[in-house]
Amino acid sequence: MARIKLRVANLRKSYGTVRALRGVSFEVMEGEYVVVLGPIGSGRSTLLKCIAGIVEPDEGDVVIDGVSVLDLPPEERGVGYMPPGYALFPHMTVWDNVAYGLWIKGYSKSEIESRVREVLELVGLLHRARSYPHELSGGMRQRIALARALASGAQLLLLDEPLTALDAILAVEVRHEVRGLAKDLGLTVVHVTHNQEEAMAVADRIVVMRRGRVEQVGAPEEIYFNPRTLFVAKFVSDANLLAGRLVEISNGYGVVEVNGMGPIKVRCRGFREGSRVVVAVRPEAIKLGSGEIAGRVKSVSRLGAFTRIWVSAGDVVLRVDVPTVEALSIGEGDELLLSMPLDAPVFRYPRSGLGGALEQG
Amino acid sequence: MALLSRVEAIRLRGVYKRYPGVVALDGISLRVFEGEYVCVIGPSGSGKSTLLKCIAGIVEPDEGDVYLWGRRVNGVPIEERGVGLIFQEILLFPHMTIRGNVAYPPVVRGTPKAEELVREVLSTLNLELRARSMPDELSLGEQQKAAIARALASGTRLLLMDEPYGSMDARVATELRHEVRGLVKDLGLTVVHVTHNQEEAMAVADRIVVMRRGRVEQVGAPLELYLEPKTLFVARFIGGENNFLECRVLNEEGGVVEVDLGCGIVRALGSARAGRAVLVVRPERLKFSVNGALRGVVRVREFLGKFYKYVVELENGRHVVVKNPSRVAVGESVSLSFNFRDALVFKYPEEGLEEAVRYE
Repeated sequence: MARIKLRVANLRKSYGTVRALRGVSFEVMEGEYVVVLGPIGSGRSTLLKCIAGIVEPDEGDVVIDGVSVLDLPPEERGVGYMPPGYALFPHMTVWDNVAYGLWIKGYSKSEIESRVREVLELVGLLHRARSYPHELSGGMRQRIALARALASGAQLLLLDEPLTALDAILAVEVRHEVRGLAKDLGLTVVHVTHNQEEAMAVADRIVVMRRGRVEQVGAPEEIYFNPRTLFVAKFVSDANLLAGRLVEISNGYGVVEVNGMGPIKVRCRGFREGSRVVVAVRPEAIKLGSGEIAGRVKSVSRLGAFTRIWVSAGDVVLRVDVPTVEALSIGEGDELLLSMPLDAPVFRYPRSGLGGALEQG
Repeated sequence: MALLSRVEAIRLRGVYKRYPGVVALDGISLRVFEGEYVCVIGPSGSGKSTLLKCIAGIVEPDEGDVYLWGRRVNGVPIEERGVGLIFQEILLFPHMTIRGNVAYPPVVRGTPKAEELVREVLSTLNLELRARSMPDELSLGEQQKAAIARALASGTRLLLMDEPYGSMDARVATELRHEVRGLVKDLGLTVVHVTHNQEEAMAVADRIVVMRRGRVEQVGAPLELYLEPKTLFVARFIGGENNFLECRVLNEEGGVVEVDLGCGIVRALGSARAGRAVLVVRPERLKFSVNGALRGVVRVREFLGKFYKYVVELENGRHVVVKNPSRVAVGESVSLSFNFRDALVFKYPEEGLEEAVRYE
């Protein structure tokens, strides 16, 4: 049975009038890879800094291995913190960059020697020990920063946007390496990002944050298919949010009269006839070719494996994603039919309005 | 897509630019037509920003000619080229309101009806409500929009953008890039947009210029580059991950080749008659099937939303990436198939496969 490695309890932190964290709680199990996902300003970096000990929370607790670490300085918390952009020292060699932290902590010369060698070997860059950061590729610099975070022997790694400095293609490879390394070493990782694909690709569990609060915690598939809030639906799967009124319910299915578009059938429970609702339809769940809804292609953009198509249906513009090979002949102005999935999540219409429910800042 | 004008907005002829120890541009010739949206993509150091700077007049080429609307502009200073410039770092006057920023170029130039123009630009970009705000009160996306609004208000016909969405959240960038493309199309502007993000280029470009090591690797419409990459590098750089499998050509007939992968024999499109080759097949074209030509074991599964990404170890020890919406367990034995029209065979590159697709 895995034990709890990290517990964050009711963390609050304000900077003047800005409330960066408004009561954040979650747990991370030993050996688990957890990704904190949220837009800029959601509090994700502040959260990581509170765990690392760089920022002191106003309230709440950070517990590592069952012990509150709030009174401990960063270097005694047993964490390896990797800031965004790596912050490697440009005038120091790879070796010195990795050794620096150990030297500051007063490790003996031979201890430093053996640890630096070990972690550089681990990230496959011992042969570049004498190079300077600018002589290395982005991927290599990332691995050096990782080596530095590992050198202290920390069992808990805190990675703040570890991949943003990399080309998109490289990032895909490196994220896989980072996860693999952490799993091989049995490390616990908290990885912060704004990129939902990156989060889903590497996380055992995802913590979705918004405006200093946790919106949802769950496995990638859970978050993606069963979003608990409109924000999660939009942020994680880029769902079309269709507002309307539930006009009819029978046998667990309902008909939603979508404003400006018309009726669609959805599976729904716990709603009364006449309720105002929002249906969250993922772009790839809409099927083109047949169905009850008539639309006209407004624009098309090919993204690689998928093609994004904007379809006007009544006054609504739907975002639809279709595998590129199935969309080769679709062009602007085409008239087509489309069908909606029955299993799209249905939400109560938010009191604050749709804009309020999605606001990030 | 609407027919593009045949008026040449930009023409580069044999442009070279060398820096000590580096050839940034190694003989670039390129035409961009009026009203066209062209993206220049390539890895860092491929020369794409230098190319943009040569068009803007920030950098003078060592050799070769730059023409804007038929006029040779070598030596013409940047402010006389009439181009709008947008960079990743958003350059707004911090002490001026958004309206002030946007109004600055037409007012300074004494453009007639400056007021009207500014109002129009702000309304087209949905910035009216922000007109009285200061730049630092806006999100990064809105700030960049304001910078674009200012470039548009200057009356430019040519917009040059270098990584314009580099500093914002992916989701914000995705929406903004779409909005900006719509706007420049409505206004009939010509755009050259430099990015390292191939998805961004695919999404907004009429044509894409793929650069590598100071040279143009391929120019074409997004779909053309995706379906018919001319080089292994383009196959790697465009359209996301791709599989490159070493193989040997057994025979060729009418543009279809049969190749031996060392763990199965498959057919694909290609022209090589014999010898060492590379089979390229996209992860999203590989299907799990009952009697596929390639057998292997699933080693890794990642959930990516629209599909799962798998790494499958083939019987010859090679790994292939498969992207597929169906759920298969790690450790399961699978067999894979693909339509021969969805795979390309290239002659094995002299410099080696790794070098041929290296993007740093």
